[in-house]
Amino acid sequence: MMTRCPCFVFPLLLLLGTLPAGAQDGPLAQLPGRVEHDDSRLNVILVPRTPQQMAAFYEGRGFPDAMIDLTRRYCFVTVLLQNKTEDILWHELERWRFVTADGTAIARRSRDWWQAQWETMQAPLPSRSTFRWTLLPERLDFHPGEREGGNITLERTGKPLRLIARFATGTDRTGEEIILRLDGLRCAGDQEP
Amino acid sequence: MRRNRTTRPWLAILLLVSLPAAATAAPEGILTLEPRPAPDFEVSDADGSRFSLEAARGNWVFVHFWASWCAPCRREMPSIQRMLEALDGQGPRVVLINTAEDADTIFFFLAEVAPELHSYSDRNGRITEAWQPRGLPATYLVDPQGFIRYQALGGRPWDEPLYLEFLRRPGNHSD
Repeated sequence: MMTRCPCFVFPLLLLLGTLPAGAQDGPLAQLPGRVEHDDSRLNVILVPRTPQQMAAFYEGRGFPDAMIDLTRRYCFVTVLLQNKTEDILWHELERWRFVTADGTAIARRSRDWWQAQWETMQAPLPSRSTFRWTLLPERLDFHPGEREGGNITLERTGKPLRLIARFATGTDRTGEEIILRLDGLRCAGDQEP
Repeated sequence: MRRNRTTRPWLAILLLVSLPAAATAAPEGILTLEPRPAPDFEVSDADGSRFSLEAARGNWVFVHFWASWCAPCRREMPSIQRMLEALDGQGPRVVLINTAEDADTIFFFLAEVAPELHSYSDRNGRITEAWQPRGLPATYLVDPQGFIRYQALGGRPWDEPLYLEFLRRPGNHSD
């Protein structure tokens, strides 16, 4: 169990490793499709990634075609999270919901789901490991000031999405719950279903 | 004489109170952990050189996980090289473990960003999996008894004086 809560902002984030080289040092604001929530407690940035961007990233790391073909079918969104509170903030993807304007829920594919696909196709272990490390953790006790990033994956849709995410706070989860609503996200490179 | 007799107890109390302070706080971004056994591993590099965590018992060990595609790793790696130069043999043993990349990728990455460093390879990602870092990069400090005592959050400026001081005497730091 961790006992210290440093307040520190990382110089760069894991997720930026998945961005085009030219974007890594540039302002995130310039990324197309980016949506952001920022208040005194939480900063959340979502950047939709095109299938071509993701394929290029994984091809460059020697992923087999079958793995890349599967990734092309899903909507990848790079997420950057920062805990701006002075307490533990519990990030749990199972408490995130993506819905369309008519309230239809869009399924998220978890890292366990992806691992099951890789297992079925007997994907190489190094590729499975790299893929896993590019995903946003499913669950994390964010320390004050801590940032983390990674991809989430959704079923493809051409409709705009609302994210509703709930975060428990406090070491024992008894702090005030944070409920985030963030509109305007779209899958990049979508075809209308 | 009388003055000395009255001040001595206070001096003793002050000394006692100040003793815990000798264990200074760890630098920003370094989490002090409840000690837990470090998952053992044995790794090799492209030249066949091997490192065993168990065989390193008796030393503090700086265990660092990284990957070439991780932008914070690219920023942090030169500071690790400068850290080693500044420590000049003091401080923990340093073991860099690349996560799931091939020898060429490791070689060309280090040649570009930190040519004095060499890294071992966790080719299948299994060691990284066993350690379960929060993300990459990830650094842990393992004490001489083989327990994980500290974890760094993300990339750190390891060559800055506070971090160097911490690394020279990691056992003297706490919350």
